[in-house]
Amino acid sequence: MTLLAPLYLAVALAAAVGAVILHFIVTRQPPSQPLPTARFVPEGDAAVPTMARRPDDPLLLLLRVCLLLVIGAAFARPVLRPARVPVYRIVAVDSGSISAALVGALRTAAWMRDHADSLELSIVSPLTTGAFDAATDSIRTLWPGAIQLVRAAAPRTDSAPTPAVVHWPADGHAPGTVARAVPDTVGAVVAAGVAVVAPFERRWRLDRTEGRVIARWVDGEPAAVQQGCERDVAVAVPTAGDVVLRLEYLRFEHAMRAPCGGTGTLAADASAIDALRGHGPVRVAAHAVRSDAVPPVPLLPWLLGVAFLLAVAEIVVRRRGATL
Amino acid sequence: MDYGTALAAYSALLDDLRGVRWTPRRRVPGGPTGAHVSTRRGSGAEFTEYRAYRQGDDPRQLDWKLLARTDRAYVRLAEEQAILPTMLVVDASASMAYPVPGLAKWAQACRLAVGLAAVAHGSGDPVGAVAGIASGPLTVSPRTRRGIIGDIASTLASVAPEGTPPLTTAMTAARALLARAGRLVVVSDFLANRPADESALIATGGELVRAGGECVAVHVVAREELDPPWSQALVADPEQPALRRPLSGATRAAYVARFSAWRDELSRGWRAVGATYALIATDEMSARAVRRITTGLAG
Repeated sequence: MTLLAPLYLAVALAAAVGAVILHFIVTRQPPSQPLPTARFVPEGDAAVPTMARRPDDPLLLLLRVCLLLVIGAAFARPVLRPARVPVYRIVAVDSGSISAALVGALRTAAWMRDHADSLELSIVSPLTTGAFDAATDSIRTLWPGAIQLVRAAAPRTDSAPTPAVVHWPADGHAPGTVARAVPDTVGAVVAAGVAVVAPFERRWRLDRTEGRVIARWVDGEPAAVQQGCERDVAVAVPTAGDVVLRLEYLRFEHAMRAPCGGTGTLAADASAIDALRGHGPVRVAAHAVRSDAVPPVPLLPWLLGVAFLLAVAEIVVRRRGATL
Repeated sequence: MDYGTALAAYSALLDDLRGVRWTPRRRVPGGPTGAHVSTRRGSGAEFTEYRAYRQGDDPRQLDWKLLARTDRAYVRLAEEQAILPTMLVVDASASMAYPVPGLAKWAQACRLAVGLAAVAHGSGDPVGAVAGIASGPLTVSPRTRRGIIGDIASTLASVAPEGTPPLTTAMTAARALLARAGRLVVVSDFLANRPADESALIATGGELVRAGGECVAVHVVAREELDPPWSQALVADPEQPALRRPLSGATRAAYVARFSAWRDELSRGWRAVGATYALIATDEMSARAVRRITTGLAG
């Protein structure tokens, strides 16, 4: 259990100590002594505060101390957390996009920051040029330390792939596509073994009949065809929502942009790899990883409920003591 | 308790006071022959002077031998000596029953009363006493007989100080027993519940002094009253149970100052009317206190 605001518990502890002291301080009249010349003593309050050997009402004292401590514990926001491990290592395997691997690793790190003292990140990737994209550098800055890179396989450098010519419908009226009379919506598109589930608006239809279908809508209609090294894509890039940020969409887009023949097996240059590796220690403190998630406080309502019951009991005991 | 048993308690005191005489501060009024010089001059045994015979003088006072030798008529004048009746008024209110246990104030008051009575009786004066008790003044009429001291002692032994009897009643009764002028001794702590009582006491003493008598105020104070032994206490007046005050380190100095100022004021009040004032603490030797009073060195 961790206290998010332990100062409140310290304050409650101090207040409880004060309550105990106050319960031992009683105002009693000193012993009465006869004195014929008492008339010459100035008038004043006859009650004198003294320290009692034991409190007058131990039950009331117990209730008040418990009430203060429970309220303090509630405001200290205790959370139940699992046991933390010293080091948690995250291994992200690049399946075609380092950005996607980084995003997945960051999500895992954000979840694991409360379960470990420090984190390490390793990326297993062929480190080809196709694995890097424009978002890689921005995403990389979100990881505070260095990244341990493990090259999965040596890239082929003998045959340079030919960049593909991709016609996106967003570019206008792409060759090989015709506008639908009535646009409809389809739930997913599948390409290169990756299914992107999203409400795609389908406004174009492929006109090209020859070529190889490289993507299909979920209802079986071709969504992209390739002829030679030229590709016609009838999938409109979604402009709303976070579809374009999903790993599946990134893989889909990577498959659409992949060069012909070589499929991105060209080794990335050393500067990009160094930038990805970064500087500093590989092991970073867990709290250095940004996390927007608010830890749950499951004990707060229970403690407040107990405090309420204690307050009611305190009132009952106090009134009963007053009537006796 | 018979007077013999009562006197036994004061035997040591009476032994210490044997031979002590109580000389009046001024000539006593005329009266039965006693040991004190009277304001009257006449046929006493102790010749003082001659005076020319005046018409109306008693011819028996003429010095016939001088008349025969010188042919001048002179009368012999001599000091007359008279008694000074003495009444003791003893306060028996609840405030005198202090401290508990021991009742040192009451015991000291009784010793002073018996001691002063014995000294006055030793001077040939008739002595009596009045104890101011709750049921009314308890009176022992002034006498010169031998057993009067024992009577006074046994009377005081039968009294338990309690209640709030006004001392003015006892003092008035004692004053009435002194025919014209005499000596009135008030033994009390003078803690009257009403300021008027205190003024009445002083006024009665002043009236006696103006009539040619003497008044002695013996103020008995307990040591515990002068210096309360408690650091923290709720003190209560035994005569006024509702009067309860906290005595602490903060109020002690004020108490001592107030009590001292009141004693000074009381002393000035008695002395202003011509009375003798003596402050006697409970831890003072009674015989020494009696000597202080009778020799006029009190206070």
